[in-house]
Amino acid sequence: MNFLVRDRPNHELFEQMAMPLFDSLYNFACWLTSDRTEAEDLVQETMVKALRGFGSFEQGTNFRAWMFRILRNTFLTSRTGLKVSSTVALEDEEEGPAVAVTNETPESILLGALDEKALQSAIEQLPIAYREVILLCEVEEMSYREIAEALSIPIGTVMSRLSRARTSLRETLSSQNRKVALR
Amino acid sequence: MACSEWQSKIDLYVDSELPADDAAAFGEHLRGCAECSASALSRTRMKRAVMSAGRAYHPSPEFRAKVRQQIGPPARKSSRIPWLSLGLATAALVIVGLISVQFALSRAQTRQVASEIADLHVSNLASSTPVDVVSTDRHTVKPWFQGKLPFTFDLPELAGTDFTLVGGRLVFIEREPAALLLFKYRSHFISVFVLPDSAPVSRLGDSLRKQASFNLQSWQQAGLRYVMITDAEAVHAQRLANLLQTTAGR
Repeated sequence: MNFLVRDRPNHELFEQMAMPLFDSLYNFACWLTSDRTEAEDLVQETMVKALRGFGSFEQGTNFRAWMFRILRNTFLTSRTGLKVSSTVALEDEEEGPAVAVTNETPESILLGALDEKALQSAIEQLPIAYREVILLCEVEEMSYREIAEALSIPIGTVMSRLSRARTSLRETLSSQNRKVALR
Repeated sequence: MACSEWQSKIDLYVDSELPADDAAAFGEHLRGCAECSASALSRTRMKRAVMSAGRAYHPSPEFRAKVRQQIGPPARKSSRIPWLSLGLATAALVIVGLISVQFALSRAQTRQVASEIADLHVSNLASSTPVDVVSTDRHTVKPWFQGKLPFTFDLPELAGTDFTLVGGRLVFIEREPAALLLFKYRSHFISVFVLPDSAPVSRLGDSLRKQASFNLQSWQQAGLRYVMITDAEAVHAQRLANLLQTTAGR
């Protein structure tokens, strides 16, 4: 495959590879920015940057993870991204797999019956570092290795953030369930 | 491996990140451990719910066309009337976009149904009462569903085969009532779900696939959708499918 044609990016090949990811990138961008206009700007900038850098894309590596990495890095340098990353402090940066020590409760077993809006609101409340990892795992169905590549973090950190994200979601949902039950 | 050690691997199992040997051993453990089975089911449901809730935003066709134009090959000089070619291209983009969205939605729904069926199979076997009507006699099991389901079906005579009818129960798939028939082949359990052949379950089509390492087979007959799931080898499951198909085809 030629990523360059006469020293210029191969537009056709890029389009063929990038457009199938368009919906996923847009969805992810909306979750990161919480604003559709900003998400459109982010996706547009990502596509243009990726096209420009397409010649440096290494054949045989993961194109999807490469695209998500560009989008995420672009977001982190945007005004909203800088604000979010400077205000969110995670617990001790987690190396090594964290074990999800959560007791399954009747509430958690009944998750299937939960309101989608409640779940979306719980995802929105997650710190950005947990939100991005859980979205890449559950929505994009990426493997831990792909997520690590997209976010430029070790696999152990992917596992621990994922575990904390899930625990946090379960707790938020259980507390919402309790509030509903008390009404 | 002790149950507590398995508990720490449940996330890896539901994320399909366990090595094949460990996944098979864990699957075996799940069959005998109600606690781990309930945890795995709960986390699988959570995973599916997040998947569905997380797919919340869709780009507009206009935005898609705008970006495609930006990244596409530089425009060539054309003798055609520009507005005509632009109009055709936009129309084509909208059609392709609609088709791809439809295709993606349909694939996601198919995956969701297959996953729900695998969950039902696992949770049912983990339950202390996997069937509500316990009988090896088809003339007892079939009438039990009378008045509970808006359709009926026939059960095959299993005498002289390796299969045994364990019983049946009423379940719900995608909010549709369905008959769950539990069969046994040696030490393997086979769940057969029977329900009206309508979307989204009809999207499974006439197919044989792997779902969470189970063999899942689906077919349509006489307006009903049959979905069979088991850890038994596909060749054995196929023999039971043939018996059911022959009976239903009479």
